[in-house]
Amino acid sequence: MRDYRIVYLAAAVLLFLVPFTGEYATYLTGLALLFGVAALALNVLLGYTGLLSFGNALFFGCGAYTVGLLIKHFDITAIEILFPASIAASFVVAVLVGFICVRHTRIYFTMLTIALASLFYALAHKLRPITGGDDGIRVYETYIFGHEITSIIEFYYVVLIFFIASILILRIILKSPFGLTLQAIRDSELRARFAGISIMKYRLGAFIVSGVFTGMSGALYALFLGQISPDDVLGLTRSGEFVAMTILGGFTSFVGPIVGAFVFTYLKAFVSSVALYWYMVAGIIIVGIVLFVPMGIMGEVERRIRGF
Amino acid sequence: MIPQIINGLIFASILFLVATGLTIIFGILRVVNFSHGSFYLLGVYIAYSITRLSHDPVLYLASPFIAGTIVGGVGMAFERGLLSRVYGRGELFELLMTYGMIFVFIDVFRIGWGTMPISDPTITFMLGTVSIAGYTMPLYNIYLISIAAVLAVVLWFLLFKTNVGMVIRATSFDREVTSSFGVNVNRVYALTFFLGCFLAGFGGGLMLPITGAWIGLDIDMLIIGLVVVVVGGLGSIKGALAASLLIGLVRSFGISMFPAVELAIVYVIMIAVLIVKPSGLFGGVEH
Amino acid sequence: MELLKTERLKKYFGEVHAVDNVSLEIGQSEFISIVGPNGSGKTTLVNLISGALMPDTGVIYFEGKDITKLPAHKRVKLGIGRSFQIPMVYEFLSSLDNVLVSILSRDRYSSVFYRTVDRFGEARKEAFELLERFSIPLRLVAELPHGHRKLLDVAMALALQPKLVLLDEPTSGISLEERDQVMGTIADVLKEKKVAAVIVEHDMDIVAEYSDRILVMHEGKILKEGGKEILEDEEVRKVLIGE
Repeated sequence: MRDYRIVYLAAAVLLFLVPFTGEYATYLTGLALLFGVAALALNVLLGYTGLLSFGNALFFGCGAYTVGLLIKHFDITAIEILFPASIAASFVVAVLVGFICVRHTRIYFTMLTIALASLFYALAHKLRPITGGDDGIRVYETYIFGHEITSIIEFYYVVLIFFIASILILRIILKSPFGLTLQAIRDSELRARFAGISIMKYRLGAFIVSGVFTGMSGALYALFLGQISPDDVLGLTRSGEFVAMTILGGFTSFVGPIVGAFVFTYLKAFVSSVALYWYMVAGIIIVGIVLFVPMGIMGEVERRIRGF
Repeated sequence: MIPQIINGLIFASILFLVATGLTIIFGILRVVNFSHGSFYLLGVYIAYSITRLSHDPVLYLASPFIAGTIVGGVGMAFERGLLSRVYGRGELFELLMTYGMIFVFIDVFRIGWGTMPISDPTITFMLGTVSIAGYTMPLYNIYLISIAAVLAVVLWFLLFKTNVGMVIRATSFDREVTSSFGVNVNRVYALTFFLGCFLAGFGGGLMLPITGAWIGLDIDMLIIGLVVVVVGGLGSIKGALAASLLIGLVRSFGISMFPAVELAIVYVIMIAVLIVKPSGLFGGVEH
Repeated sequence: MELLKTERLKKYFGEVHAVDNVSLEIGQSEFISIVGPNGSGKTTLVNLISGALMPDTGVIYFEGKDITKLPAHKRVKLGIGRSFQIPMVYEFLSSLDNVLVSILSRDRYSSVFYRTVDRFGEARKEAFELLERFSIPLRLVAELPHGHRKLLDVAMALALQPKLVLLDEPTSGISLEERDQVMGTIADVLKEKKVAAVIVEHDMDIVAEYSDRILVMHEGKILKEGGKEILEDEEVRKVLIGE
């Protein structure tokens, strides 16, 4: 085993320095950090529990809309209230949705996550008086302990702190007995049951962890971007992007989804700025990964390191 | 009542075509084709291009069949050229590949047919109207429902009364055993994908005069198709038929009675069915 | 009081009477072998007792408590462990982690999510010792040969420290030379921890050497039961050789 702590430290320093390179890079990196947490949360289900969720935008949107709705209807602008509220909301939604989904595995689970996310999408879309429909909600003038956050740079550091804290917490969760038990269930549900493990309970647990972390990143996304809409935070494409990022980075590796989120976010920004056809490129990338690098970037890197 | 029922049946017909394609492909290949909505949309666009050639009513009526055949061919090429390369690597990768194709198609549509919605109701004017129980409605609506019903019967005949159908159904039970009887499983897969995509493209072609096409319809159609398949039971054609009728009619009445939440009602039905019967209305054992 | 008791246990698969009216009793730390030709219902019986299958009719008591309706994972918690004919292991975990999952579950630590596994030194040490005892190398399970996977499966069941363990052909796929040693190790552990065992076995030498009692199954019924002398019984021989 090598010590990668130095790599992590270097990455943290680099991320700390990003705002000095300009607003656009800060904005982009902030997004990558948020998507990184969401992709990591998706991988709690995919890589660690063996469940493919194609509906995690449900939680992302849940976090984002909790912030949006509280600001729009109740004039709550204190992040120290908005953020815990979105944690609570995504927790409740994860429990309810989880009860329906975790009884199923494999493709049935995947289709259910899509359908349930679509339910929330349809509600956000149609309940115009409450959600603003297609136009979404503008999120602005938010405060943290009485201090108004105005610049994107300040927001970036909030996001960065959230990112680092999330990674540390998720790392402990995934290396805990709970995390080990999830991996056991992934590899052999039958054996795990005969080790005395209640499969449903643990799947639900994984679903809640995934939902809450995705919800938190959604909440910060709303605050960071200042604008949310159903298509952006609740659509199938948003869920699909989390999956694409995770696969691109490698679902067999802990840091894979983060790497995937960064590569995907920067690539999307770059391609969209030079060519009209980002969708085509995205599609070809997804098909290409599936064909040629199914273990993703980090899966490939780790294989090479082991090979030497 | 009558207009809602007719509208519901139109919607049910299209859902049936789309969901049956999805369910047949799943039954045989064990792949949920995420690009199914895109194949549907491709069908609408191709029918649109065909009917640009001439305003002959025969061409209008033939266009869904031609569009369906072309879409089926595209689907088969996709299955042979790309999807078949990842068989055996697990459903994650098969699923992702069909998901990736959604995006490739989006830009194909934008390049080929532009970003504005298209539609062409000419044929509904050509065919005129009929009166049913005092309600006047386009004859085309009745034609659409009838042709979908005929296709359902043909499909049933094809799958349950012909040798090809027997081979297809045998493959869905056990591919190893079937191939040991000298059946070329690859050919069955290709044929199945052709059939599934034909149904999607055909359904799309039929809807050109009624809803037309716009980018975004692909994903809408995929999701509602998935809902029908989940409610009916994955892999069950009977289930697809029952769920299409249920959801088609519910949605039609929902639109006229609770327009704000009509789509939500559909999802609530799905959740209710799954809580009572997790494998869907006609689903057997999972996996 | 007997540890486990079944009353008129019945499981039909369509026309096949897999287990037909089986009533049996197993005492504390008793070693019982089930023998019989393929399809005689041995594995089905193990599946019924462990909770992998639910019986059509009949009752199962464990330590006097009716467990007929209890799901498998709860039976494990009461003290019924099992291994599988085709080894069921966690492919992408290390052999140590495979055993560790059982130990953590037994000690009710599985749901702890705020401490990493490294901090469970006792449990890791126990898992390591169990691996050593069965001579299973510390490696990713996907890289282990069949024999080691088979043993690992048994080790995972024993790590639960059950009161009763059901072992479905524990020595199948293990070379003839190693069989004695492997079975010896398993028997030692069973004796040491006072675990009752039901094993399904085809190797009659092993059956004769270790069993306190032997059950002969045929067409879902218990044909004969007794000491190793019943292996010499005319009817039993006919059934077993008929295989």
